[in-house]
Amino acid sequence: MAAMSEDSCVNFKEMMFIDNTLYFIPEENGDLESDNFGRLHCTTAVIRNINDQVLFVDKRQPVFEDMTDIDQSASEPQTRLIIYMYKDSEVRGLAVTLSVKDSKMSTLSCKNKIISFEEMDPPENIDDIQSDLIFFQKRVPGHNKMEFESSLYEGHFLACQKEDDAFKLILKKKDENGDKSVMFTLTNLHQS
Amino acid sequence: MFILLVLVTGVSAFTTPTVVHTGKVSESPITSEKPTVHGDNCQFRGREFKSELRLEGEPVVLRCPLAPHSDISSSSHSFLTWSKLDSSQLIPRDEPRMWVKGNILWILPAVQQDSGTYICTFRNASHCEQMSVELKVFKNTEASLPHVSYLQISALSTTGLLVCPDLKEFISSNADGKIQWYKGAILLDKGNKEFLSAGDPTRLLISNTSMDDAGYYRCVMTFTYNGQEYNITRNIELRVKGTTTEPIPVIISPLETIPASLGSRLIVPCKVFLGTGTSSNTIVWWLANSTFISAAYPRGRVTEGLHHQYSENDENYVEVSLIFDPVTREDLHTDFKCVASNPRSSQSLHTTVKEVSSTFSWSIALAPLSLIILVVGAIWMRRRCKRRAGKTYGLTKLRTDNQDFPSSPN
Repeated sequence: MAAMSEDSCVNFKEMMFIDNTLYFIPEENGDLESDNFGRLHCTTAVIRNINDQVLFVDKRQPVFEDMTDIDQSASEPQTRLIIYMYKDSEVRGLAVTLSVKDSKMSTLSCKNKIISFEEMDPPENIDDIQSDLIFFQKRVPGHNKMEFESSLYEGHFLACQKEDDAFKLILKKKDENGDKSVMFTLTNLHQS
Repeated sequence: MFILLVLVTGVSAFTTPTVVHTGKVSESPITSEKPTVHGDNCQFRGREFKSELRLEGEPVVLRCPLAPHSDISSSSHSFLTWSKLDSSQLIPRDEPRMWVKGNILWILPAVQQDSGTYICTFRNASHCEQMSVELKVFKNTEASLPHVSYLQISALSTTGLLVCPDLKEFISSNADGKIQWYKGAILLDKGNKEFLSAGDPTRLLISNTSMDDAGYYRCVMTFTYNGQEYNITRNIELRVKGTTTEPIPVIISPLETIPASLGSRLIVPCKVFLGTGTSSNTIVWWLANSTFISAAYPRGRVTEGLHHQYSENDENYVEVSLIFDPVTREDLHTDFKCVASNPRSSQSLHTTVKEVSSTFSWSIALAPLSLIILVVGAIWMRRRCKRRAGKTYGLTKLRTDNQDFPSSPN
């Protein structure tokens, strides 16, 4: 048999067992990566665009719809956004993920600049300084509204765009001259 | 034996339809509604999430969620039909108030008896799909307001915006549509200084929103069809949100340097001031050399305390402690940073640990040193006393010499 490639070997590291948890002791040069986003607590909110349309997440692409109070209450699993806040090893705005929960949890991803809700729980830790799931939530100066910048695509924000008859949630490079499509109103619901 | 075999076969034969039925039910998990007679081979896709909650005497449109963006009538290989759940007849039968155009069912004007579940069926050569849409027609009275109102929000002391919703079909049909805005029963005409036109007639600006602006608004659009004029009303409940702006977090403690003894346990609280407002979404955490504490100290020698939020004298604070157990020499060369972050701002404060045992040893060294100084001082003082005695002796001699001098003139 040919000799195994060196790449297929695993570097054995010193280990320690503390309180039923196995720890790998990092070397000075540190092969082990440290977490760069760590999940803390969460809040829940309804997100509205500049036209007071409510963000609705169903099996289809997330859209903004005109909704009466009754409709919104009846569609709570689709309109109730669960926002998890993350600590960041580099200090840039408030790092968050956006999820909805019906029978299962779905979390917003902007992979390849395409907005989709992937069926997954928001991860406990993220081993990268950028992530398709992490957005920086910032208050728009001079407004009582929020904007969400992707941590993966700098300068790209969640936005509302009209396509045919639908108002879709997209990822978009922000216009330099006052872009209102990236502004959203967050109405806090009860802490979960 | 033969009879038993026949029975087993018979039971198996009856079991098969049950399985098929179960499969059919699983295809429509959203609703338990029975499929219509007309749609025997159609796949039921469920209920449209949004109900149409409308007023009596007004035009209503129901849009079929299936194939929402294609013009059905232009395609000769597919067609779309409507029916009501409690009736097997297709719409429109001989009802002059209803007609179908594209994927939209028009009801003009709607009456309360039109309330119910409508099923649209989309069919082409290869497949057939169905979805249901709920319609509720209310009397045009005050009691209906909570049911038909759209919730919209404006912040206190800002320019508010009211939007007249769900008019897509009517605006495209009637380009000259005029929209009148009312607050309660009061017409907000063009002369009004507080309410301004935003160019687009479906929007109304509220200059400098106040608490008095909260309440029910109405936008009424005039729609003309076949020479007949109809009102299209949308009711809006405006809520004015007090300016619960996120505060800028201010990190009050710790100090820039923290004195500590090596080998001892140390707790360093990071205290953040959050102003006097209501609840805030501020998170606080520690970093060691820009690394999370749990990652930098996997063995738990240094840990982060719990997120502790509290009020003192109506002022809000958050505290997260950094706990050393014990302090080691390594900590003297580590950059510890407390971070506070919310949508408004992110703040951070650096701190370092300084050894305090060297100060203690210096104190110990100081004691014998001062003792030595004291002893040397005492000896020196004694020597000074002896010298004074010497001086006294000298003075005595001088007086003796003076006495000898007067006897010489004799």
